[in-house]
Amino acid sequence: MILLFLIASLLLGILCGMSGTQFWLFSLISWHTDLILYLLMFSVGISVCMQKGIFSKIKEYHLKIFIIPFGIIAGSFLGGILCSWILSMPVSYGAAIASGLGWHSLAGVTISNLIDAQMGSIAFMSNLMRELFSFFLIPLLAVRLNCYTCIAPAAATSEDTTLP
Amino acid sequence: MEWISPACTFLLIFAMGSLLGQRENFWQELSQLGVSSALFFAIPTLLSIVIVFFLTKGWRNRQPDSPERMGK
Repeated sequence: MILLFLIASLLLGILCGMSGTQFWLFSLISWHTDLILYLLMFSVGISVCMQKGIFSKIKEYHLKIFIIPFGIIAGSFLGGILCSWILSMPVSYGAAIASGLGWHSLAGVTISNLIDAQMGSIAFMSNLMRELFSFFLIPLLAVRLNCYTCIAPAAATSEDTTLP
Repeated sequence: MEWISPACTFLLIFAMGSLLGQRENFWQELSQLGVSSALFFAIPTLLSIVIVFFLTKGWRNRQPDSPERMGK
C-alpha cells in the first residue's frame, strides 16, 4: 500500500512540475526539501534506537553476523561502480545509487538533494525494483542456493517489508 | 511519531517528481532513466547474491522453522 502511495506521490509531483503550477504549498515543499530530509533522518534515528536487543544479538552471533551485510554492501558497491562505467557517469554517482541497498525512499530523495533529480529518480526506481524483485528472488534462492543468500537481494528491506 | 517518516517520504518524493516534471526533455529522458535504473538494480543485486553465497557457502543451511533462526 505504501508503495502505491509513493508512486502516486511521484506521479503527482511530475504532473505538478509539468503543468507549471505555482501554488504556494507546492513551492513551499519544493524549496524546503532539506528541512524535510533532516526531519526524516531524525525520525529514522529514533526508530533505529527503539529496536530492543540489537547489541545483545551482535554479542550472541559475534562477528559472523557482519559477514552477510559485508557481502551485500561489497556486492552493491562494486555493482554500482560497474554500472557507472557502463553508463559513462562519475563513479561516485554510481556507488551512491547502488548504496541505497533497496531503501528507495531515502536513497531517492538524498541523491536528489546531493546530486540532481535525474540521479535521484534512477536511485528511487532501481531501489524500488530491488525491493519488488526480492519477493520473487527469495523463494528461488532459498531452493537453489542457501537461506543466507536470501538476504542478499532484499538488502536493507530485509529488516521490514521482505522480512516475512 | 511513526507517521513522521512516511509523511516526510511522501513530501520528498513529491518534490523530486516536481523537479523532474519541470525538465524540458522529461519524456525523452524517461526511457533512458528506465534502462539505467534496471541496470542499477540488476548488477548490484547479482553481485550481492554471488558474494554472499560464496561467503556463506560453508555455513549450515538452517531450516525455516528452526528455533535457532537468525533475525528479529
